[in-house]
Amino acid sequence: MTRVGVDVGGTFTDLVAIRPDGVLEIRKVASTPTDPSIGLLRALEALGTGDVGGGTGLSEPLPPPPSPVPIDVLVHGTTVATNALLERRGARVVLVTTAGFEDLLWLRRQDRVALYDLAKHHPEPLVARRDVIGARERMGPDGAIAALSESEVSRVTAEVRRLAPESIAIALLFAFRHPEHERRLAAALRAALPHVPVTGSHEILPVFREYERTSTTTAEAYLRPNVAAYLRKTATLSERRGVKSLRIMTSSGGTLLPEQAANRAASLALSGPAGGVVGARLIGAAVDADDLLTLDMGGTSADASLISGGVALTERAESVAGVPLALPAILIESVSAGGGSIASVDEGGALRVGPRSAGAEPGPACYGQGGTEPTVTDACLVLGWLDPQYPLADSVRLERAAAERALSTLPWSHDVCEIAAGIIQVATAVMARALKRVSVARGIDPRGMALLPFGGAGPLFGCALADSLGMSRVVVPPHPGVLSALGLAAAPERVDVLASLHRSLDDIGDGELARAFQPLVAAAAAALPDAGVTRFVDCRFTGQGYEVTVPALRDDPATLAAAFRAAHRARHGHGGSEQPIELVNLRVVAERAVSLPAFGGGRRGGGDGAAMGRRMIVTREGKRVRADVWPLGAMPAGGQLNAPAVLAGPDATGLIEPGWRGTVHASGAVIVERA
Amino acid sequence: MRLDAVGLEVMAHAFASIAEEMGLVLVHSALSPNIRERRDASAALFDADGEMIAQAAHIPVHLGALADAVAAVRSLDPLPGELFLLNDPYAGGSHLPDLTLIGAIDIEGRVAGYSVVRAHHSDIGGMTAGSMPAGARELYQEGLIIPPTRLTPDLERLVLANVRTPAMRRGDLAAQRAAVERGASGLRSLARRHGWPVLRDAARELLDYAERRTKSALSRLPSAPMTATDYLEGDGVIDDDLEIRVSVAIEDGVFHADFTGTQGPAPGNVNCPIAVTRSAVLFVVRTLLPDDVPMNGGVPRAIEVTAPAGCLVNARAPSAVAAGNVETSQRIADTVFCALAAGGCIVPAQGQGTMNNVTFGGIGSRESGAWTYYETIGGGQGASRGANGPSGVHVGMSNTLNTPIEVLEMEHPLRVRTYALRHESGGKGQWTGGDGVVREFEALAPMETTLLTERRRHGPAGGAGGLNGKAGANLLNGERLTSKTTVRLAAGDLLRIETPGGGGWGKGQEP
Repeated sequence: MTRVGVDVGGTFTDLVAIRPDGVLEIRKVASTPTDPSIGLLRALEALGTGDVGGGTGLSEPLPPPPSPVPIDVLVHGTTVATNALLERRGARVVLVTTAGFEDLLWLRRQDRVALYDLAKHHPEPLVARRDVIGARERMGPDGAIAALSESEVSRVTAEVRRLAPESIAIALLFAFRHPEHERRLAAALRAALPHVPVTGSHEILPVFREYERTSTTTAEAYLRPNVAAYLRKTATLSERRGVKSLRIMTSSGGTLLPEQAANRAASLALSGPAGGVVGARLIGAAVDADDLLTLDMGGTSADASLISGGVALTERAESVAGVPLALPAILIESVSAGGGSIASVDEGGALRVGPRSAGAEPGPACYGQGGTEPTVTDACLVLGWLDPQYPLADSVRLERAAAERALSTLPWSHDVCEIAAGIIQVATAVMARALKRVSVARGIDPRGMALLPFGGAGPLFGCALADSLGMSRVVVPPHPGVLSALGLAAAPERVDVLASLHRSLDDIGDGELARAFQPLVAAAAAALPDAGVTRFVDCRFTGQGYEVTVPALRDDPATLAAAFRAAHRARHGHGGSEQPIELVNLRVVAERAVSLPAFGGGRRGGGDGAAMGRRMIVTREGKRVRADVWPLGAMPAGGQLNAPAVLAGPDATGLIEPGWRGTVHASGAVIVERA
Repeated sequence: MRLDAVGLEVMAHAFASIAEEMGLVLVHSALSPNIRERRDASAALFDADGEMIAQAAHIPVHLGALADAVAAVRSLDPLPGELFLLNDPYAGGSHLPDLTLIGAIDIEGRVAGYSVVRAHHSDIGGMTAGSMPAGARELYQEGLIIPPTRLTPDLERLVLANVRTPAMRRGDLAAQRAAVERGASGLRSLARRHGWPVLRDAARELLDYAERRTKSALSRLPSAPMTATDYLEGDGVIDDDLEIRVSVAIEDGVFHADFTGTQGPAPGNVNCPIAVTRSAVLFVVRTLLPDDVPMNGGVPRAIEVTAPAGCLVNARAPSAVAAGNVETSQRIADTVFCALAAGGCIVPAQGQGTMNNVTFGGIGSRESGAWTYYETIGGGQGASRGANGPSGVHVGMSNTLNTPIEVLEMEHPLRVRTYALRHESGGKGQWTGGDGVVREFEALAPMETTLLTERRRHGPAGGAGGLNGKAGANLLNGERLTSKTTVRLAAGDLLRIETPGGGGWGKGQEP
């Protein structure tokens, strides 16, 4: 069975195929932003022809594979939802709210966007104010306060019809607990406007806090037509290509069928980054590292995430592109530090890196495409961490002289290497902050965990980041530049079901919990037959506003209470003495792991165990040292790599700093530990 | 040791990261809506000399005032590891509901710094539920006064015996204590990695750095003395206008604000401790700085505040102060901005200039379910040159979130009838001021409510020829209430708060 993952990024569309014999096929083609499905198709074609695409830098020509490669499962990580939010290119939505509360999306949570910049505005909502209709009805905590009359249903329906929307969102107060009014309006609108999608807040996010629920529901309605059209097109294309099953990656790290995903458009907003975390989890499992901090270093930002006990930490996302989205998502903390981040010295004499970025256009100065400001990539090149002889994944030749010129514009040293080392240290500090937010800030001690850096330049910073967090193990994956696509290829099928309960744990009797979970388990099992089902509860001390999620291993409330107190103590530093506990939400996750061959065995390239060469590099402390250069992803298992060493792969570069040493694992990953 | 450009930035991130963690621990485990939903709280790390190293960006009014709290604790010669509680506005506090917890951080057996968490508790006793009584004439009426004191189980019992909602207070204090501990352990682990002397020097360098940046930015502003006068609208006892006067001068990069000429003490609760006055001036200065200047004790080094002892903005015990922190602070910031505008600085028009403090409380014994609830309501931001003012936001010295309606109604006998923007309330001009907010509550049971509000008479002033924003209004069943008042509500009563719009900026286009 061949599984294929395709990750559409801003510049490149990456493809990884896992062949039945465990061999990985990797392709990289240029993305086609106006219609991403073209890039997807080209990547699939490249797989058929054996053309590795634009400059993956593999030195030896590849033997053409038997063509065309039959694809059993294609998992797609898509930016179509993310981009529609970023570029505000979604459907024209009409939003129906409770009358008197039509301004909710404009009131937000009433905080200003910047404490000291008094002129700054929040991003505009996704719906126009004139397209909001208040329905005369009102639910309270205990049910209807003002009934929804039939004539009001007709009035609202007529009003919506008059506005001729492309998509409809309904978000009424207390619908998370009392959805009857929303259901009736949704039914009437679906009957009256059968071709317009209707999203009810109780269907997509049945949890309290009206602003976040309304915003999420509106985003779903906004995205649904675009996402559905794109997924239909992709499904047709992949069917034509002979793909037996197409699945779409969600923000929570599971995959859905295209028709399911079309009704959960907003849950695709972090589809791409989730793929990377799933890939990291896979490599972690292969090298027996179940507790991982991951860092995906891209061109403009770095994304940190956390895997604990082999499970990616999932939380409700805060917001994507300025739009609050409270759907479950793999926890990702971003900071503005990437390869293209620009370094500058401010008037107080501090060296800054980011948030400005040279992006893909013009790119770092060393790309020779017109960039003149010094970037992190320029610093890496000046220190000899990148090899000007060796094209980057973008088939760009690097110009050292241009990098030096750019660095020498910074006014605090005459030695470009000192400047470059400084930029590396500041970029490391910025990225370390993201790693701390996902670990230390959540009461999780990173020191016993392994760090898995990926993205084209991430592995260059592995040892430096591990140092600043007190970690002693770094796992460099065999193909760090296409880890997201690998994660997609290997992603489990997953369905998340959620219901709000809001009950005191003390009041829950015997058997009641099992009964409450029953419909959720049934729904999950129906969506994903033969899957492993895990139950979770979101609990908090009565009165708190934030929940802690713990597994519901048994139905007995005392066990749950103990598990919750322990988790709360670990995370927040206290276990709340005798305070009563409230069970807020029930969650069921159905996950069907895919069976994968032990990859690595038939790795292509099968290096002979010799270094590719040696060259002088400068460490971040400013020392000149001679480093071995090894072919990342093409070294025999068991190989010992002494520091300093450069790991030069076709899609990424890594560094083993002095004081560390590497061992090549059978999977092709390099385990770097303190010497 | 002198840090280079790199070390400076690396350590700034390390310290800021600890303050962020403290804030998260507090908000995620606190019990009361005011702390967990509205985030009416701040967390900071101070060095051993009492200067702030880093702060989680939450509430401007807490910013400058925390240094006085640390100074008050330092005067007690704290031992390493000791924990202090205070709320006395005349000994490091702001107003009584703000309980400040301060831990003396133990590194290698010495006090290496202070971990500080200030949070607004929605009750601390006193004459009305919510402890923000309108009409108070003395601090003693506003609640329990806690001078800087070591926090022992006995002190906690004493505090809990004096408040209307002890269980919630106990939970919030536990969250606060956990956040203080997180700050201390964060600094200790940083010291383990870098060594304490390196860390201490780094903190000093960072303060110097912020001071340098602040002075450099300030020295580009006009240096001629600039003056302005603005008014508060009554104090809950009298309804007269109360005058605040300031004279601002910038010399050698130092910002001098002199409040000589400001009127004497008010009989009611709008008196403002000097720490809060300094905070308001610091806020204005901060808006004049590039946003990448770190917020630490180096910034206030470039600020000098003088005010005659005992005047409205340098209150003396036992004047009542509940509204000084939340309302007078806003007007002080407005007045300083006015002075800058008079001196030719380009500053935004006035925002709503009030926090619209609303307190509700159940009447009855603690056993029969007494409750308290506190919120503040956003309004219009003033327009600035080049931008309309944002609508429905907190301006000036506050930046709390709202309480979700669904949370409010699930927890208290209140119903929200309307929550909307107050359209057309922003002042017109070349750029329009932001709109205020309408929030209408229905009482579902008998209760007591206190309003501490401003700008109900004088709308926020426009800038550079822009028109004023609309003044706010407080209505009980359609009848106007004064700006500061405590009233009893019966079930079915409707309390409607209309918050002010922001001032417009620049003359509107000719018709």
